Amino acid sequence: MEIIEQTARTSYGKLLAILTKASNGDVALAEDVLSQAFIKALEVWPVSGAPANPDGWLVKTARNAIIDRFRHLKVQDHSIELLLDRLEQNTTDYPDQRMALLFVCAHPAISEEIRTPLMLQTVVGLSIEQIASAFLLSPAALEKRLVRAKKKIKEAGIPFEIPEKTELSARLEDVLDAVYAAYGTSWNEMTESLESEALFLTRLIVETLPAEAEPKGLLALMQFSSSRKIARRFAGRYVPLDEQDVQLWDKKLLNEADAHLRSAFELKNPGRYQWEAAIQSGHVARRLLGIDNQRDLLALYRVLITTAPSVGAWLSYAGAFLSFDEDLEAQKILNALESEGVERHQPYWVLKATLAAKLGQLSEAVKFYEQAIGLTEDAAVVVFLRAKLDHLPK
Amino acid sequence: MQYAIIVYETEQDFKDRTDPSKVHINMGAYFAYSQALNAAGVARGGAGLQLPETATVVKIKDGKRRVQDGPFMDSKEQLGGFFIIEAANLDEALAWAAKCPAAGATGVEVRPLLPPPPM
Repeated sequence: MEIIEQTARTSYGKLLAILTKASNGDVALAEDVLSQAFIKALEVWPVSGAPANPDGWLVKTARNAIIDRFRHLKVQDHSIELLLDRLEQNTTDYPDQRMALLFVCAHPAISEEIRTPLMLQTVVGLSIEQIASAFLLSPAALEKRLVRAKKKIKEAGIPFEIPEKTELSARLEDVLDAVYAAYGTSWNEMTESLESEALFLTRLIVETLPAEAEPKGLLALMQFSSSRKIARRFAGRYVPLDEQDVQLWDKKLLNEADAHLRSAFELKNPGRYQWEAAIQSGHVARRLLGIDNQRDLLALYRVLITTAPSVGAWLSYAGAFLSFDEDLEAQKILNALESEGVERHQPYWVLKATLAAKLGQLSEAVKFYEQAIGLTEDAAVVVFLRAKLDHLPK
Repeated sequence: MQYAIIVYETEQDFKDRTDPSKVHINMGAYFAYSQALNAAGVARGGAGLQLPETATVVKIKDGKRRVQDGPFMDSKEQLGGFFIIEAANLDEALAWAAKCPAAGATGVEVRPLLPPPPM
């Protein structure tokens, strides 16, 4: 039945969050009763017709299952009873609990690598196969880890709530990092990109916590990047920023990104994602309006590295120096990174190759390009790098 | 732990091996991939195989020899070669597998190796 599928798509995370709250933070139990409710809907709705308020019907059905479960466990918890009463009285206009669920998923007690899959399963409602494909994990192994994480949520008593003001920004950082990890899968243009899911989650956070600056910064960052998606490919070949046809950039999305970044900075609480978005905005202005802002951009990279040092940030800093023909500065950074275990980082070898080619060290450049190609998953990038290698002066 | 990354190829993939325009799947791509495995210190062995039609199957049934031309399996996808790598766990092995040129064509299979026999 189409209505069931549609409800699952649009309301799954919302309903699961409400039910998780109703089951005292037990995500696994909430998932269980919600899927039972969906199964019941598949039995009942085709016969007696879909209810006027599908969400309410599902919550009510799942709620009864929760009560049964607690009765069975002989647990007396009045706060749960109270919540369930409230739920019964009002199943339609219930406050959105998804933000609290996101904070549970990215709780410091949950191991970092399972946070994003946990969010995608509970709040977005993606299947194990979809998540496993996006993150290159074995579906069986991923399922085990998700089960373990949910057990931990229950046993450790991770609170189902939005953290207090004092710890909000630190905890929010973990949530945003996990959401950004989902977005990262879209750079490869693999079949199972989670770009729209990541954008959806970030919008949800921006709407729930409008006084926070970093979610807006992250949304801007993703939108800047997504607006260039089509321009990044031409005839099966990757096209780097400086060679992209700016006519192909999504202007509407760029404007939205600009607006989000501006309202983020107005909150006067800058952070990693705002700086990254500002760098993107600088590159866009440079290409679109022909503004000479190299100094400003380099300054922004420096701020980013001080705020959130990472190998990725250092590599993009080195990349900026290279594209502004400050080869010595780039070389200094690349040399310093050598001891940081970057040899499996594809972008590192691309930069090394570019630098060697610029300095006329051709045999080195060939070696480094080969190394980069060997570490590349995306066929369009392989085509691009191979062309660079083939066009080195002989 | 050691894993085999097993390459499966279709007839087209076998042709693409020597096609200079198929830079993401031809021998050059495999060369770059092997080099990356070596440089990362994870390569433990492997080999590329010649075309399936060069294969010969040998069976001994009821004490009698049976020799047949062609590969063992009569399927669209044929074994094209394999890499043996050292990886901390399956996640790491899958990350290397995704970079294998064949992953971008027909696909690869990742399987853990049995531990070596006691000396």
